[in-house]
Amino acid sequence: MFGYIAKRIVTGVGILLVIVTIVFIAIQTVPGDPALVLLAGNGGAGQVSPEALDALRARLGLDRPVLEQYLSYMGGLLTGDLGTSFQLQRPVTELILGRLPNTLELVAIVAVIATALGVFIGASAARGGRAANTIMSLFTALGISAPVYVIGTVLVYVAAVSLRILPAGGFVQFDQDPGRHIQLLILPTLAIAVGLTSVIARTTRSAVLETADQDWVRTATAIGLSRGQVFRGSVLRNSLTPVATVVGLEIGTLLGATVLVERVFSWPGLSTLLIDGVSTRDYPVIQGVVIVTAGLFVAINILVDVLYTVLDPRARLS
Amino acid sequence: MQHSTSPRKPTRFIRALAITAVAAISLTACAATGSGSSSGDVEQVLTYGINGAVPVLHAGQTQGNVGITVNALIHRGLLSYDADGQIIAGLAEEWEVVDPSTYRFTLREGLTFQDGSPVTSANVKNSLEYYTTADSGANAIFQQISDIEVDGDLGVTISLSANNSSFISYLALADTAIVPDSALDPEAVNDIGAGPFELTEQTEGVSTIFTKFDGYYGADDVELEQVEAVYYTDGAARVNALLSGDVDLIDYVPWESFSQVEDDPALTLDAQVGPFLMALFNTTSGPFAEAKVREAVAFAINRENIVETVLLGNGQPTYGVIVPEGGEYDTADATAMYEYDPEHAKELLAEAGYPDGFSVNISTSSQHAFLQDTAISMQSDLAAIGVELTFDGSDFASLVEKLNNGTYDLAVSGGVGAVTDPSWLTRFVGGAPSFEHSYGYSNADLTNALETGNSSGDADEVRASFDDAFMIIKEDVPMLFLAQRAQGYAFSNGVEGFSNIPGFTTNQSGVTIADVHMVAG
Repeated sequence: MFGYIAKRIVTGVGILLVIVTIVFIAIQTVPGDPALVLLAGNGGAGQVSPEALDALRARLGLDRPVLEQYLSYMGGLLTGDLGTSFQLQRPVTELILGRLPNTLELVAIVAVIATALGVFIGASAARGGRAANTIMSLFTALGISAPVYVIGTVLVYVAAVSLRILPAGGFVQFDQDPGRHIQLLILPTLAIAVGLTSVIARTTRSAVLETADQDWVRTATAIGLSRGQVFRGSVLRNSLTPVATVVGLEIGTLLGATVLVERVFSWPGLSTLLIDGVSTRDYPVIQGVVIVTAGLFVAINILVDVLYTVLDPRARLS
Repeated sequence: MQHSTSPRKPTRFIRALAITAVAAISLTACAATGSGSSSGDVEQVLTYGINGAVPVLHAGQTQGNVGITVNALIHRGLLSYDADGQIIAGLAEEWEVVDPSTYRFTLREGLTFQDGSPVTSANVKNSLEYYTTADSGANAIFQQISDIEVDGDLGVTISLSANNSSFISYLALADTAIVPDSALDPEAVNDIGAGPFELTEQTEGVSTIFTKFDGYYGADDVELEQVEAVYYTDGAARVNALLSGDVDLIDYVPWESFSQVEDDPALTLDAQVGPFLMALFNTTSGPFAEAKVREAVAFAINRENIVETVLLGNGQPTYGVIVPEGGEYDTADATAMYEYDPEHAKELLAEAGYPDGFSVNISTSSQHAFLQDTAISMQSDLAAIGVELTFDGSDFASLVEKLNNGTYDLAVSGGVGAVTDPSWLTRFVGGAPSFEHSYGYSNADLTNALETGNSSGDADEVRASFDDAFMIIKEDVPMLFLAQRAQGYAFSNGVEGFSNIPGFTTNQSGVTIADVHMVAG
């Protein structure tokens, strides 16, 4: 097991290095000068003289050959230095550590709620009759097809603007005001959870229906186990492997794809940091966020693989 | 095998879910939302939903509208603006125009920066001399300063290398304030000023808090104790925050939300026309090297359509240059240079040697819907005269680079003047490569006319020079102003004293936050 995990980690690090290199090359080739964006004031209202531009490029190290910039960056990476943001003039590590918990919190809570609800709904639908299946199919289709920003906008309109029972958006640290923090978390969580719950519910239902037809399920029933015992011990547990895969993939996707929710609810997460970095050509921020997000994705997939062995003894043996 | 069909009892899981839901709803009832109070004394705290994160401030640089607004809270220059856009005293309590190139200022007594250090004439000299350096990124007008003399701690005399009637206006801009010497470096952070509020707390990606500075010269008139600028990058999120009571004031109200805000009796929309949309040409090659082709474009564009469909009626079409309404330059020669006349446009194209039209790219920023939609509107307008425009949208950073490098044919962008004197046109009609004027365009007669209008001490010569400039612009079409767009602020009834300054100085409206007081809303 440990050998397997170590091998996956080494492969993951290799993948990250390739990703970093690709991103570095890509952003260098995209039009847009970080120094010009800085001096143009992000809104085109700035005065930009060629001398000021050249001086700023030199300060940012952008006047060095690209290869030198790359090697310098990779050297810093080995010591955990992700560089300094051009725009915010703070270490990228510090910026990411400030934003990452906000995104992880959102994603983690969504994952827990969506997994619990999705498994429950999917399993219930699989055990229920045609009516239950039809209702579940309808609502999950709606949940999957409705864009997250549409769901978010509707939630804001109903809960914040019309009923005024929740704030429209914003952020406050948990230790500053726990009640307000939770209030601000509710709508963005719901907005994302709707879609993920729907996906997990459908996956669970399909997996449960397939597993319920297996020999060992009939055997368990035949030897006199109760319906609940059969479902929990023989059906549900064996249905969770594909669900775990889907959850792992979706969480990985969520880490980099919460930008719309972060924008709608003004939630200061990693995705917004990345998008703002791209808009302003803040190269260190772009590279740093991509590395961290990719690293998390790799880590999550390793965890999912380990989870398989917990859920399915056959995976342990293989 | 038969399966039981009897109803199942609720599971522990469902009970847990129900408890969680009740707890969540209870929490919503417990915590307060929004700001302000309807009983007793109203807390003098303004929550401002601002359209972006506060940047790292650098002295002299114009850092977008958020930077300008924050500078207006923290800093003051020798002069300032009032709610009507008129220049008023700032750190200088008196000023005198000795002659068109010499200005004398007397500072108020007892001025201090927010770090407790005194504001003296030496700070004025050092700040302005710094703004003359290219490294500072300050407006090029400061490079006209030839000498600064100090007289004691309070007297300053500024001499220019040439007359400049608009120089005074630039001293009132928030970005070129008088700052401590420690801020006079391109890498230094410029967050200590002599303005009404000091920056006291920043939460990255979330908000910045400003607290009243009791050492400000006008502190007795400032009722607000605190301004909390909360970042709402998305326009709809900003409006929702205002509608739900989370904030008291927002800027950059999206045009599609104007009527929603206006219809709400608890809110006020304060919109002023100021910034503009413009078309820029690559005049170094291709069809737009010909003035007649550019003039054809001027007559082919349906500007009313742009205002109605892009700005949703929240703006006004521009058929010439932009001058203060009702002012001395508000004449047909300046403001009615063109009209929507596709037939005349076709004639001009034929005269220029393009009777069958041509095909080029139109570049713009797809990051800004109003720029993109303007380009799309122009596509259909110019197609009607035989000019096929291939849409080339990119994000704003890419557009700025294209405009700077001349890698475009025709472009749609936006801008805003700094002052109301027609001399503001100078940076939009020539100079070093810039994203603010047509690539490769240069007309010495036009530049001279604008400079003479700006520098002459003779009123008749000034008028004649600007009239010449308008005539040249009409015929040579260095670029096209398409429409002015409305820039809106919105606030709750609990906010009194805020004003959206009209015209180009709308971006300076942050100075009126010092006049705000909160009332029971």
